[in-house]
Amino acid sequence: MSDANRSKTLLEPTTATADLLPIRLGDHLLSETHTPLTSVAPLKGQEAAVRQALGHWPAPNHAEGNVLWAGRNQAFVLGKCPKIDGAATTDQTDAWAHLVLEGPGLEDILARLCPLDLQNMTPGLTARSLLGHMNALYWRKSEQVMAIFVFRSTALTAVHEIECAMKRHVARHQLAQRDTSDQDN
Amino acid sequence: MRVEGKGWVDRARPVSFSFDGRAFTGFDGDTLASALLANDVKLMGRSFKYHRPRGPFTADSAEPNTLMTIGRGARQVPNVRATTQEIYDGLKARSQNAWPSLHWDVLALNDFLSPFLGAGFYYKTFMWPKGFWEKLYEPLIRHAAGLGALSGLPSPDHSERAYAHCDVLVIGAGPAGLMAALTAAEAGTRVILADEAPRPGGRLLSETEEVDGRAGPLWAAAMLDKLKATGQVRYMPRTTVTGAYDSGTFGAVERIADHLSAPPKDLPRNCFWRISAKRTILATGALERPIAFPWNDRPGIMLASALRSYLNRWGVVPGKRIALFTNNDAAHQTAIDLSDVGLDCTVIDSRSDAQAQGEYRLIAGAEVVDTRGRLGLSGITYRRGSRTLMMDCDALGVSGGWTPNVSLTCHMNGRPTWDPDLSAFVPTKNAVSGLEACGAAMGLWSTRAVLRSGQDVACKAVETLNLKAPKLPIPNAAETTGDMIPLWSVNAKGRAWLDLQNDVTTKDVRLAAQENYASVEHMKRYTTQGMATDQGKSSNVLALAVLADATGRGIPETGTTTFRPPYVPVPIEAIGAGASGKGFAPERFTTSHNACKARGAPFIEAGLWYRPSYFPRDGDTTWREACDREVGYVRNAVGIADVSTLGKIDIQGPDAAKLLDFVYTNTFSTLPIGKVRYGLMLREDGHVMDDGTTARLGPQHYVMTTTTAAAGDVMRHLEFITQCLRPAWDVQIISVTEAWAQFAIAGPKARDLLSHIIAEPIDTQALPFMGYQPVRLHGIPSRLFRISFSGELAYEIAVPARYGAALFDDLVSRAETLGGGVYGMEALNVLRLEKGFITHAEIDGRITAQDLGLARMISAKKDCIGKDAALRPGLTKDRFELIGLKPVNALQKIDAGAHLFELNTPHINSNQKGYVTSVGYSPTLRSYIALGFLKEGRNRHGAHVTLLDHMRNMQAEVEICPPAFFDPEGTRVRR
Repeated sequence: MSDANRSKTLLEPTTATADLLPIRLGDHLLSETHTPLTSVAPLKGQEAAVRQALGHWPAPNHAEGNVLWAGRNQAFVLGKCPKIDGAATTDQTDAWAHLVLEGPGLEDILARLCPLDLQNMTPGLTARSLLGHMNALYWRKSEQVMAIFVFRSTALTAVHEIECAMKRHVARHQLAQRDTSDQDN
Repeated sequence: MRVEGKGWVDRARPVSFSFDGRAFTGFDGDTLASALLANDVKLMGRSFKYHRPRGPFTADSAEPNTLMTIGRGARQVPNVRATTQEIYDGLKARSQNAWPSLHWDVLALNDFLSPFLGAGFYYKTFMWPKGFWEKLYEPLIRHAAGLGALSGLPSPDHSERAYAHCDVLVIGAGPAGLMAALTAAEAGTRVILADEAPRPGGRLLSETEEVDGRAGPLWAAAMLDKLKATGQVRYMPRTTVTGAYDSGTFGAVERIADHLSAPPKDLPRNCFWRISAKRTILATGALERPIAFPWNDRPGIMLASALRSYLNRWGVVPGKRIALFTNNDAAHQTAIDLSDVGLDCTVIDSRSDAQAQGEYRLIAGAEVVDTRGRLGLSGITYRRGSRTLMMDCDALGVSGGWTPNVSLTCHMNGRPTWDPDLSAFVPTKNAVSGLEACGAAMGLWSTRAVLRSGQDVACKAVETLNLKAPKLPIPNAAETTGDMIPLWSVNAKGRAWLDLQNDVTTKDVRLAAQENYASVEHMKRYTTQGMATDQGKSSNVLALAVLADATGRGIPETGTTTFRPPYVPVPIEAIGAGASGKGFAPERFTTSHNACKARGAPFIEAGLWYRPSYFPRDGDTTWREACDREVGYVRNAVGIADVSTLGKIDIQGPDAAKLLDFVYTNTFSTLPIGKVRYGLMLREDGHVMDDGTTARLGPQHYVMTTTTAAAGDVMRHLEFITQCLRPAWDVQIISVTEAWAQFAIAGPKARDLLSHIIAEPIDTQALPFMGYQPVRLHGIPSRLFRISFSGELAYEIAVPARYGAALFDDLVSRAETLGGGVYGMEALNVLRLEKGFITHAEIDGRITAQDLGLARMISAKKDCIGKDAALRPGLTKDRFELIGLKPVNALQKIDAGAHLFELNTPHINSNQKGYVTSVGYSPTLRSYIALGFLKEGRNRHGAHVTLLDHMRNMQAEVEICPPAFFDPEGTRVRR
C-alpha cells in the first residue's frame, strides 16, 4: 500500500483472493499483485492532452508502458496516475483482482477458460474477454507472463477455475511424459 | 485367432482384461473387438429389437453392433463401441441388451415374433386402449429394446472444454490428411491435425500397401515426425471432429483417459474442443458399404475392409475358412492378404466378368442368398445362375463399394451430390464455407491420387491465406483403382438387414414405401433406419437405394436424410464439461461474506451474488425470529447491512447531466452538487426498467446506483445510449460497483454510531436527508450518502473495497453496543415493505410508472427513453395498479404469488382481478403485509378482496390499503 493515508487507518485492508495465492503447480505460478489502478477515459477533443499527460495512449488491444487499453475510449493506468484534466478518471484499484499467471505455454492452461487465440496474443497486447463465465481483462506482459484482471467479487471463482486448469495441465504433462518414455523403451 | 507375423500390436506387452466376467489377454495396441476376435470370441452383443446375436461388423467408429458397457458403478460408460475401445490392463467390459446372458437371451423370443414386429408395428398395434401407450406399452418396449444404461450416480471423473485456433484444420490423418497437413505446415500456417485413431495413417494402418517403399503405418509415422519438426502442427490423436458450425468453428471430442489403466491424478476423461479454423481440409476418407442379402447379420459377417483391418492392423482373423461377397475389385485385396498368410479364401463376386487377382478361389457372377449359424456364422448359400450351392465358412467379408465420408460437409444444412460414375454421394462444393474435401472423402480411390489431392487442396488453402505453397514431391504409391458394378441388395427370400443397430431390414423399407412413407425423411422415421447411435453410417446409402428401387425413382431423386452433429456419440459430460459448481455460475462474494458466514447466515443468490438471508441465534426456532429481531434493530436502534451488490456507475463529462435526464424519467440536471435523487428509468417500450438513487459529486460527475439484479442491464442500456443513440454527447461511463464496499447504517441511532468514526460533522444541517458528502472514515477517504430504504434515519457509507471486511466488523460491533446489529435480506425486505418501496418483485418488466402511482415522475419538461411509449393505448387505462394489502385477521399467513378475486365470486381465471408480489410479516405493525397489483386498485383503498393461492391452498380476506404501511409522512427519515 503506497498511499501514506492507508497505513494510518485502524482498518486492516484485505486482498481479493485472501490467502489462496500464490499457487504453484508444475511449471506454473498463479499469484495476486496489488498495484493502484486508475481508469482513464478522454473527453471529446482531449485525446492529445491525455496522451501528453500520460506519455502514452495505447491503440485498441495494446498496452504502452503502464497504460493498458481496457475498452472503447478507455485505458487503465497501473501505478501512480497523474491528475488529468481532460479525462474522466475513476479509482479501479479495488474493483479488480490483479492475478498473474506465469510459466511456459501458459496459453494451454488458459485455452480451457478463454476463447481468445492466446498464441497470437503477443507480449504487449491486452484484451477484454471471458475467463469461464467471468469478465476479464487480459494483458500479455511477456511470453511467459499473463496478467488477468477479474472483478474483485469473482476472484475466488477465478482462482478455482484457473487452479483446476493448472492441475489438468500438470496431469496432461505427466501423461505426455509417460508416452514419451514408452516410446524410448 | 491371432496370425503370426501380422499386425502392429506390441506382442511383447500382453494386456489382461475381462468381458462379461471372463478374463482374456490381448496385446498393447488391440481394440476390445480385435482382442476378443483373437480369443475366438465373435459373439459380442445382441441387436436392439430382435435380440439377435451380433459380432463386430466394422473395425472403426462406424460400428453398429458391438456396443458395450465399460467399467462399473459411477465410472461405467454405456454404448462404447468395442471396435474403437483400446484395451488396457484391468479393463472390464460387459455386453448389453441380453438377459440372462449373451449366449442365452430370453428376449431373443422377439426374433421369432419378427413377422409381427415389422416397421411401424407398434404405431398400429398399441393404439388402444387410450392411455396404455405411455403407462404400459412404451415402458415395456423400452425395456426390451435396450441400449446400455448410465449408473445414475454422479461421475467421479472430470472432463474439460477447451478452445483451439489454427489457420488450417485438417480432419483425418490418413494419407490425404498427412499430405495436406505437411503442405500447409511447410507453407508456415498453423495446423491442427485431428484424427480418431491413436496413431496416424488412417486406412494405411489396415492395408499391406506401401508408400514410398515403406509399409503404410511406418510412412505415416515418419510423416508425423516431419510434421512435428515443422513446429507448426498440433497433432490431436483420439480426437473426433463431431460437428461443423458457423464461421469455421468445429466441435471435437478428444478421448484422453479412456484408454488408460491408471490415469494420472486430475487427468480429464474427455476434452470437448471448439476449434476455430480459417480453412478446413476434410480428409475423412470413405466408408465401405455392405450389400443386403438374407441373414447378413450373423457374428462373423463383416465388411471386407474390416477383415483386412483385423488381419493387417491387429494380426487377427475371425476364422480359418473365409468367404468374400463383393461387387468390386478393391475388395479382392482381402483375399490376396488372406491367402498371403496361408488362409483359405473364396470370393463370390456378383460380376460375371470378375477376374481373380491372385491365388484364391473366385466364383464370378454369384450372389449370397442365405447364411447359417446361430451364435456365429457356419456356412453360406450362394446362387450362381439357376444353381444354388452351399459352402461352409466361419467368416464372410462383404463389400458393396465405398461411400465418401461426407457427414461434416452436410452439417450446415448442405446435401451431398450424387456422382453417377462412382455410384456414390460426394461432398458438394462450398457446403461448409472455408472447407474443402480431398482424398477418398472426395471419391478418389487410389492412394497416389489421394496424396496428390491432399497436397492440391492444401495448396489452395494456403494460397487463400496469401502464403506461398511449397511443392512437395508426391510419394510413390499405388495408382490403380478397380472396377465396380453397383449392387445394393440381393433379391432372395429371407430377412436382409440394412441398419444392423436398429434392426431395419429391406422389407421394412419396402413396407414404408408401400404405406406411402416414400420420402426418405418419412422412411427414416417410419423404420428408424439411421436413427441409432451409429446414425446409419453403414446403412444409409443402402436404405435409400432400396427405397429408390421400391418407389421407382433414382437414388439422386430420392436424396439423403439430414446429417446432424455429432458425428459420433459425445458424452454429455464432455459437452457440458466444467459446467458444474463455480463453472456453472461464478460466485460473487461481498467483502463481508466470511463474517456473515461465521455468523451462521444462510445465503440467497441475487444474480451471481451471495447475500446473507438472516442471522440466526441460539434458541431461535424459526428464521422469522431472526428476521423480526433484525427489523427491530433498524426501527429501534441501528442496523447494519451490506449493500455493496447494488450497481454503481460512475458518469462523468460535460454531457453527464443530459444523459441522466435522457435515461431517467425525472430531472437530474437540476440536482445540486452534494445531493442525491431517486430516479426511475423506463425501457424503450415504456415499461419500468429499474430504479435507484443517483448522487451528484461534482459539476460534471454523478454516481448512479442500480438494483443488484439489473446492474448489468442498466450498464448495457447506458452503453447503447452513448454508443448508438447519442454518440455525439461527451460523457464517459464506467462501473465502479466492485471498487467500493457499501454498507447501510439505518435506525434512530445511525448518526450516533457514525459520528464516532467520521471526522466531519454529519448533523442534519451539514448532511440533510438525500445529501451526499465525501468524508474520512477512520481516516479513509469515503463517500457518505444520507439515503434510506427502510424509512428510518439512515446512511450508506462507501469505502474502498479492501477495507470492507474490517469496516463491516467495526460497524456491526458498534451497532451491537448500541442495541442494534447486523440485518439480512429478509429484514431488509420487511423494512421496505413496511414503507411500500418497490423492488424487482414489483417492477417485473410489465409494469409502468403509472401502475406504480409514479406517473408524475415522468417529467413533462423533457424527453426521456420510453416516455412516448408509456402513453401507448393499453398502457394507460384499465391497468393493474400497485396497492398494499393486509389480512383482516392480521396473523393469518399470506403468500406472494397469490391471486386476488372479488369477494363471493367464483375463483376462476376470468374473474382474477389482481395478484400479490411481495409478502412479509411486519413485527412493527404485528401483521402480515403485502404489496400487489389490482385492477384500478388505487381507487379502492379500504375495500376487501379475497386472496387465494391455488398452489399452496391458502385463502384469506384482505383489505386494500395504500402501499406505505408505516410512517407514510416520512418523518422518521428526516430526523
